[in-house]
Amino acid sequence: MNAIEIKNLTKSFPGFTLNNLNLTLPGGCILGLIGENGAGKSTTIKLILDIIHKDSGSITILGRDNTENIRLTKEEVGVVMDEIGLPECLTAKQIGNVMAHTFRSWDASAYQALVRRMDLPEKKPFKDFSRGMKMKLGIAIALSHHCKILLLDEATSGLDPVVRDDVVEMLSEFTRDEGHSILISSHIVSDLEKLCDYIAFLHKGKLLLWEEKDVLLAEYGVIHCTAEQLQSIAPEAIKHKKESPYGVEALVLRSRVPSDLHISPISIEELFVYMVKEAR
Amino acid sequence: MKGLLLKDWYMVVKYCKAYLLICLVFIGVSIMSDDNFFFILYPCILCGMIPVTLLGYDERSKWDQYCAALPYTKAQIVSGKYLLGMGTQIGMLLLSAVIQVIRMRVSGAFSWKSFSSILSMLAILSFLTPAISLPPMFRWGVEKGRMAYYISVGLVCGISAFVVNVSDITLLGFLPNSAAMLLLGLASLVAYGISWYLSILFYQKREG
Repeated sequence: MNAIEIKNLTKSFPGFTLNNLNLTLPGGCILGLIGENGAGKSTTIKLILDIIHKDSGSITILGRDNTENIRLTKEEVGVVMDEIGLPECLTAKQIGNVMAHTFRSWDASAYQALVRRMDLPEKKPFKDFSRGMKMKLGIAIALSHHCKILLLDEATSGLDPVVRDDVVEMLSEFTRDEGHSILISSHIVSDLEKLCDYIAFLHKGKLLLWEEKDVLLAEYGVIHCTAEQLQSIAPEAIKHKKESPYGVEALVLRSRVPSDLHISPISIEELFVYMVKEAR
Repeated sequence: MKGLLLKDWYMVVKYCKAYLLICLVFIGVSIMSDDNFFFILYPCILCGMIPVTLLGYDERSKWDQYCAALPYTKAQIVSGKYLLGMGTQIGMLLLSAVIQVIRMRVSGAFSWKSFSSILSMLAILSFLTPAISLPPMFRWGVEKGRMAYYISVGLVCGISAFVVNVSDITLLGFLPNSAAMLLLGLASLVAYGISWYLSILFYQKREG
């Protein structure tokens, strides 16, 4: 069963429209939602949680429409927002007490173990936490109510490399259970490249691409050649090109390029930049 | 909803200690001075501001957005604030009422008529500020809804100031007949209930 299925989702605000979005998070997988600031990532996550209401389309979470029994659905979805959103004066211990009365499936011992493992102070107010500590506490909460889906909105941005690595490790542990899935949004593509099974690119409210990461890396490549060499490639195989006095750099479909041309592997970050530039 | 109430209680304990101190000082002064209406009423007005104060802190920490992702309905989120407000207001109202009974007994001026009038006045002022200011805040947020807050505080303080400035009229002389005051007291409770209902409607329409 798919963890999340979004079909023809549309939401309009003054000056921005999330347009006809179709996206699937397969069960047991990690989907990275990549986009520039203002591309519609947070809007998509808020629509999934029914925090804002869609204009049209449908969203199902674990097979249920997201507007049906949203309270039950939210028991099964752990959420970590960019700004976390915990009250500044509360300590980790007090937050644990609040969450124990919030989630039916709250696991106090799991929470305590996570807080200790992440070396988080139990009696320090949340406002005195560093950005990394705040993010870790947000993740500890999300992981302590036995959720099946994690929604992370820009959860890794602004973290130092060590904390980011800790976070990535925790997320990897979470997905070792086949019933667990993650949707993680970020504009820092390198974070998602390590972690994700599926990648989706959003640009100005439109989905540019949704595909398995390994398929993308196998399908696309970069060639550096002359303008004459480029002409030997079928135009539909060239997804983007950048010409300079020294030659041409082009994003191509590997399968359609003559074998005598050398194709370099492409990173997800490069692919994203090429695709956004092509879409402009 | 227990989680919401517990979180708000932690915040009251942390942020509203000063309120309690001010209330105790005002209650103390009201015992010392005869018929000084302002000192009797102000603690109740102050307690009526607690839900608004908490909403401001919630928005500043983005708790309102995080809470929307937790398994609570919007009606529960609104009701949490109204219930906590009601608890603190009733608590302060009862404390003020007990103090006034003692004060009136000591001075030998106790009568059920005057006591019920004071009680009604305390109820009006306790519930009026949140009843007016909370629905716009749930509709447009604390920043945009602040105007309603100023209006309600101005209105309530205006009533108190009017009472204080009528210096040549004693407390008992000023109060209108107790039945009318009792009705006004009950009307303020009804206004609180209507405000509660409107806030739920407004918050359900709000996106963010």
